[in-house]
Formats: sequence, C-alpha cells, structure tokens
Amino acid sequence: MHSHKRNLPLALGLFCLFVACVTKQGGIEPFEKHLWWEARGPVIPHESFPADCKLCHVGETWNSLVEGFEFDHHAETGVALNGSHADAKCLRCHNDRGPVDVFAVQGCAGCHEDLHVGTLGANCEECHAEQTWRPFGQIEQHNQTRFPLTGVHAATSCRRCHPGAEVGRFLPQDIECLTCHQDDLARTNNPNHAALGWINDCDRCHMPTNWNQAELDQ
Amino acid sequence: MRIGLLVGLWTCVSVTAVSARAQEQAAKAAIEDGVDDAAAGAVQSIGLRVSFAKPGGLVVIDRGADVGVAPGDLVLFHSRDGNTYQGTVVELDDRSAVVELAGGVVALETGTKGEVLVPEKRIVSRRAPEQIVPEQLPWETADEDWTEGMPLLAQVDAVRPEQRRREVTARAYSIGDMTYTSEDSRSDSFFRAGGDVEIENGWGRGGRLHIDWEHNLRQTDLDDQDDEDFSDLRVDRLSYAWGGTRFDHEGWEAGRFLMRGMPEFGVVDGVEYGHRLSNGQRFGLSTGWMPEPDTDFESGGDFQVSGYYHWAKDGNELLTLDTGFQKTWHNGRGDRDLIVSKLQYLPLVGWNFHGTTWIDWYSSGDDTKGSGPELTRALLSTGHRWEGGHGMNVNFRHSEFPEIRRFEFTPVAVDQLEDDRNDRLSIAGWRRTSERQRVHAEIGVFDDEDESGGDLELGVDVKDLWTERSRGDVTFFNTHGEFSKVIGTRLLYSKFTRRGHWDALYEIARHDQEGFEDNDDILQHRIRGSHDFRFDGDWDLSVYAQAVLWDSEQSWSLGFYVQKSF
Repeated sequence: MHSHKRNLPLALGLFCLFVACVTKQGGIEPFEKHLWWEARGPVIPHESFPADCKLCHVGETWNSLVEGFEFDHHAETGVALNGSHADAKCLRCHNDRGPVDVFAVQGCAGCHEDLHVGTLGANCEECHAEQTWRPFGQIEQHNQTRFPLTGVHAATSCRRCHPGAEVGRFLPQDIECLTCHQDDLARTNNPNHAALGWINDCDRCHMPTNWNQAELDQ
Repeated sequence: MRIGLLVGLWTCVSVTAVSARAQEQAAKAAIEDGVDDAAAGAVQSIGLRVSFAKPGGLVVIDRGADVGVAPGDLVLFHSRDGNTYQGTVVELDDRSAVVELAGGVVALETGTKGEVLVPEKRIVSRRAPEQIVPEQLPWETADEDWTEGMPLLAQVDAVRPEQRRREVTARAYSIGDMTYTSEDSRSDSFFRAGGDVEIENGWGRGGRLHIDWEHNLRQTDLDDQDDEDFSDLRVDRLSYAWGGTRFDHEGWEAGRFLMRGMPEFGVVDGVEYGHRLSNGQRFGLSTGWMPEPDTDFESGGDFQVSGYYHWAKDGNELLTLDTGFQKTWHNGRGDRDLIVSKLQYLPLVGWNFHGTTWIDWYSSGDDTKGSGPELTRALLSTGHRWEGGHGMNVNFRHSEFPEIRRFEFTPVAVDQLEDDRNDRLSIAGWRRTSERQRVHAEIGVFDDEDESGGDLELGVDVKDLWTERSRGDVTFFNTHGEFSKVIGTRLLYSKFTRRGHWDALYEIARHDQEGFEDNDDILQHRIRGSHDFRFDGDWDLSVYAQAVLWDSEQSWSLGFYVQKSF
C-alpha cells in the first residue's frame, strides 16, 4: 500500500514533467499543422482544387497556408475526418509511403499499427472510436461470447484472465474456473481446498457473482 | 429595306454599348462616392476574382482586409458575357471577403474578374513591411512535359527524407481506472502514464527514431489477504527505421518494434529488412528476441527468425495475399513453427473480405499435438455496405491452444491442449429505416469442445432524439453461454457537442447461472456515464463513472484518460 502511495504521485509527476518539457519545446520543434514544407513539393494531388492558389497559399511563401485555412476533407475527397483526425497534421497520412488511396482503402490498418497482432480482426470500430483510442463496450462485447460477465466478473480488470491485456493481447482463454482462479485455490485454507481434493466442480459451492462466499447445501 | 435593317441593328448595338459603358461609369462613380470621404480622389483599383459563389446572391472574392478592403466597399464584376455587376462587401477576412450582389443577381461564375476601389491612404496604413521574396530557381520545365499523374503545379522533384529538416512529433497520456467492490471491500486501482516520441531525420540520414513507453501502477486491496501491488516501467518501442519510402525500395528497422511486414509475428528485439520489388510486391526477413506479451515485456527467453512475402494484384493493392513463416526457440530449445497467411480483397464497392489463418506445424518433439500442421486460429470476415446506410458483416473465428513453451497465455493442462477449441460464426446487419432511424441486429453461434450456444442482439437507434445532435439506442440481447443464460435490455443515449460527446448507459439483465438449484438467478443492473472531448486542438480528455449492482452487492468504477499531442 505504501509503495502505491509513493508511485501514484511519481507517475503523475512524470506525466506532468513530460508535458511541461515538451510544451516548453525543450529540444522539440512542434510542426505547425498548416505549414507546408517547401522542400516537400506538392505531395497532395491538386487536380480538383480551385484555380486560385491564394485561397490556400500565402503568395510569396507558397509553402505557408493562409491563416484560418480550412479544407473540407469530406466534401473534397469523400473521406470524413472525425474526432482526432480532424486535428491531425496532413502529413501524417499524406507522406512518403506511397499513394494515400492504397492506405485509405484499408481503413484504420492503413495508417495505424495493429497492436493486437491481428488476433482481434479488422473491425477496429467495434471497440475504438476516433476521438481517443480508449476502448469502449468490452462488457457488451463479452456478452457475445460463451462467457458473459456476471457479478464480480463485470468489475474485474481484463488482465486477471487475459495476461496480455495491458499490451493489447486478448488471447482466448479456457473458461473453466481453475484457469483464472489457480492462485485463489492455492491460498484458500479455510478449509484447505487442495488438501481436501476440492479442485474441480467449483460451482457446487461457489457462485460466480462474488469473490469468496460459498453456499452450502442445507 | 436592307439599309434600314442595318441602320436599325447598328442603332441597337450602339445603344447597348453606350448603355453598358454608362452602367460601368455609373458604377465606378458609385464606388468612388462610396469610399472614405477623407480619401476621395486618391483611390486605387485592386483586381480580384470570384473564388466561389454562395447561396443567396453572395460571392466570395479573393481580396480582403490585408489589401485595404473594408465592409461597405462597392465591388464591380466584369462577367465573360460583357455585363458589369455591382456588389457590396458584407463580410471580411484577412485574405477574402463576402460580397452581396446588387440588383437581384443570383450568382456569378467562379473565376469572374472584378475590381474594388480602395482609398490609397487605407492601403498605405495597412501595408505590411517589405517582405523578402525568395529567389526563384530558373523555370526549366515546359508545359508539354506534363503528363497525367504528375503534380499539377510543376514537375518538382520531391526532396528525399535525408534532405528535410528534423521533425518531432510526440504524445503524452495518463490513464486511471479505479474500482471498488462492496463484497469483501475489495478495490483495484490501475494508473498508467506514458508517451511516445517520433523523430524524423534527426541525424540527417532520413531515418525515424520511435520511442514508446508506459509506466504502470497497480494496487489491489484485499480485505483478508495480502494486497497486490506492482509498478513497472515498460518500453513498448525503441527503434530506428530507415528506407522503405517511395524513394527507397529497401527498408530496415532495428531495436524493439512491432514487425512491420507481418505484425502477426509480434514485437521483436532485433532487426527487420523489407524489400519492395518493381511490381509493387514485397518480401522481408527479421530476427531477434521476442518480449513476452504481458505487462513486463520481459525479453531474452524467446528467439525468432521469420520471413514473409506480400503479393498484390496491382498497384492499388485491392487484392493482396501475405504469407509468412516464423521459427522460434524458447531458452535455446526449438519451440514453434508458425505459418501465417492473410488474404484481403477490398474493392471500393461490393463485398470485401479479410481472412487470416495461423497454422502451427508440429514435429516429433511436440508430445501432445503430434506431428503435422494444425489450424490454431482463423479469422474470416466479409462485409458489404449499400447505399442508403445499410450494411452487413459475416464473421467466423476459430481458436485453439498451440503447444508452445513460450508464455503467451495462462498455462493449460494436457487435455485442454488436446481438446479445447472454440468456433464462432456471427452475422451482423443494420438497415436505415428512415432519415433518423436505424435497426441493427446480430446473431452468433458458438461451438466448443463441450457445448454449443449462441447470442442475439436486436436494437434500434434514433438520431436527434429529444434534442439535435443526439442519438438514442435501445437493444435487446440474449446469450446462451456455457455456464449462464443472460437476457436483458440496454439503453444508450449520446449527446454530441462540437468537441466531443456525452454518453449515458443503463443495462438491466437477468443472469441465470447453471449448476445451482437455488439462488441461481440474479438481476444485474449496470449504469455508466462518460464524457469524451477534445480541447485546445491537441488535448483529449475522457472521464467515466460506472456502477454494477447485483444481489446485495455492488461495484463502483471511476476512470479518466487525458492525452496531449505535440
């Protein structure tokens, strides 16, 4: 407990320190979203753009875009920029990897690495929105498995059963109680389950709705 | 007769021309009258063009406050048909202005020329200090050299990564989740603070350095047992990559990174080489140690070599096939021979398809699985989107445990290795029934080594429910799981704001636990509220609170997510 009290301020302190350092530009030059690099050349095709260059570019320094520049990505390209994408730098997608059409057709996977190493499929939007990458709806998703989350299971961190959850690996698990409750069984001594050979058929006494309480047949 | 006709025609043309000139002169006079009295007589005509037309007789011109234009200024437009039209500046920006057309003129074509007369005094007072115009390189490209596919403006040789200036992008975030459970007074807290930095061309060689780390703190308080407490600093990525761009058909990455060519092979502490052929197909090789996929990311026990080939039907990569092979060793002993294959068909319209299979090739050293290939995991999905907002997805998943020495999942017994498997087939669809309403449904069936079951969801969501920019959803669900049956309803209401959204969820479900004669039904309520929003352009904040109530017990959760992008 004591180390936890020490560690929380440490973690938050590190976060604040990092934000402060970067905000103060300690060695980092933030790249302005709407400043084109002269050296890049025209990476984005301009074929469908208005003929009046000054609608977007500042005359004498064409690599700078006009203040208040807005580009309706949805109207012009058919691809809406939602959530965080609306504020993303153009060059995060329009860059040297090749034609953006090739990446756009792949959806999220065109630009984002798959930290789940392919094990969760290609429908990222089932768990992630475009605002942040914080996942949502895990309990609802679990209802569509052979093991709906009941009672305390709905209040338990994912990593209790999926050891790789914290690094994005949700490998399937066997759903027998013992798979996740091996440690609980080993330390139970009132009565000592292992000594009594009570290592199977947990549901004879335990409900999956609470941690410890056992029900005894009257 | 003919002379009379010619005279008549000449008279008409002359009158029309005089009329047009008179109209223009009158308009110019009106402009001069309209400028600031103090500057009258010393005005300057500034040429302009219509950038685009807006509804309601408005047009946007490409001149604004930076050249002295002011609201109320009169503008003359000279259309291609020879007519002259008037307008008045009604809105102003630095480099553009909105002009209201006079005389009932509805619209002008984009590109129409015009002029606005502005007092010189106003121009002088607004003129910026003399700017230094950079020296232009001699123009060497002739128009006739342009071909389709080239940049429109000029045939410019894009500058290579090593010739660019250094660019740094970064992100910092902190995440907290706290849960308190009434039964046993158990609490669980998990805090994460992390960040990543990417430096492009930091050392003049065009490479990219990528650092990604996270600090985890977890605390679980147990009423009558020892508390669990740990703190870890984990480096998720520390790598340097070079090449592999449109300029370079060879690419390398070294350090700790997720393998680029075949991510299914996981994170590696080593090196990867990729080579793009002239026909767009690619192959690659990698070698290194594999960190264990848990919160420690401990490395050194597992070593791998792998290779892959990426085939694409054409340059658009709408049809691709990837195949790779990975050989691993655990603490020096041969461990896994894994073949991963991926097929993607992603047409712009029609049915798309994704399929990935993981096949383990066992040898005589694998006591439980025997020898030969076995399908360890498969993910197959196909979907279609129709005009009007309708769509459907069909998914199939198969999984079983591979016989490996490496730690990837909680250890399982021999019989589980032999028998355990899980297959699930699901079909999801949605149909827009009106402008504001959509129905959605999903049905799934599973089959494993012991039992079969399934799940069903059926719901309807309505846009702009009660207020604008909102969404309400009610979903009925029913699951027949391995140990329990669940039937319930979920209500979700979301309100969208300019920078984010509010969500409120309520779920009530009856969970029927199999195996108990008494007390096997519980009614479980779940209430959740959350708010996600973005502010100052590069800050994201997400907060939530959740309560789960069942029997006489309850759990309460609070969480936050804050991120700053640079």
